[in-house]
Amino acid sequence: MKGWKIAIIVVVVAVIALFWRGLHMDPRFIPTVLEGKPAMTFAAQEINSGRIWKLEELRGKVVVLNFWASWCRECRAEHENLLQVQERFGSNKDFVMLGVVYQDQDEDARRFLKEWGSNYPHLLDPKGEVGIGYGVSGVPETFLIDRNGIISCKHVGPLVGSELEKVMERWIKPMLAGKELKSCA
Amino acid sequence: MRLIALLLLLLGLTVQAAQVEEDELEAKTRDLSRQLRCLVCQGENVWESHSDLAGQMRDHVRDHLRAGESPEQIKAYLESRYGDFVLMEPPRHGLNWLLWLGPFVLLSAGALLLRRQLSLWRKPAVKVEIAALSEEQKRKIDGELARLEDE
Repeated sequence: MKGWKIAIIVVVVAVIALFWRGLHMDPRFIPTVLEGKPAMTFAAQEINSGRIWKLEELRGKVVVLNFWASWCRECRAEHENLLQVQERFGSNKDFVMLGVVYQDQDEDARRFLKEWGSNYPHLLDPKGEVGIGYGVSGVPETFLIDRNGIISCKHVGPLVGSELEKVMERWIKPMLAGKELKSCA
Repeated sequence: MRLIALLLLLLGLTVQAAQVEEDELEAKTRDLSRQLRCLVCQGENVWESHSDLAGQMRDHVRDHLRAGESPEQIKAYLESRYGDFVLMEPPRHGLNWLLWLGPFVLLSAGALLLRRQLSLWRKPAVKVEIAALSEEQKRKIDGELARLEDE
């Protein structure tokens, strides 16, 4: 009898804990499976110059890939910070930052960049193949790709406040210095 | 005249063949898209969703099927990008077994518990122990019964 009671209590507590955890989770959050995997290679056209950028040609460099759209408010919030990132690291020959226009009209994206400024290239992804290749389900999302073409880290959401600090100080800086990243958090 | 009729017939057959091929591709696209979860919807599959991402995923499926890839290859690629979450039906491995077996285990445990509780309800709450009769008591009862019969 005592064993039965304990078993019932354990099961009830486990079920409540499961529901409790579910209630406090962001339903849009999808855990990434890409960290540590090779980044999908792509060849995509730059929105203004028309130049084709190929990821495989950037092997040996630290690449930051940011997916954004002109209709996305959070992308607008982080845009100035991304310009700061490029200003700080752009002069390093081992660093490349690329934007990828996600589910957007080319003209709207061009207008956005004209209005808010840009100091790094932005690529078009008209069929969404690059987005799918990087498991993107919403914007903004930012990826850090190491010199060997491996996705080291993925960040979902705008790079503002402590998140910007994290990406600059704990992701890009040590990676450019050739150090091993301890964690993406 | 005959030549024109023959040409028209051939043209008709070609169009029909293309139509059949297209329909097969569309059927395969539908079957596979139904197995994929729309990542920005609530419990909707890629085939039924109207979201932009689902539309792009449908196009991805269609393009890759047309290029000769098998549904399994396409599914494996998307799973490698988005994880198990992209599949409407969680694959049967690891912790996913909890999802598959959990409800049955809980249901069985509940049924056992109910059965046990019902059997407890049917039994008397207090079991009355009846002590065995001593020889003297037996003799006394027999005597009383014999006296009653004589009367």
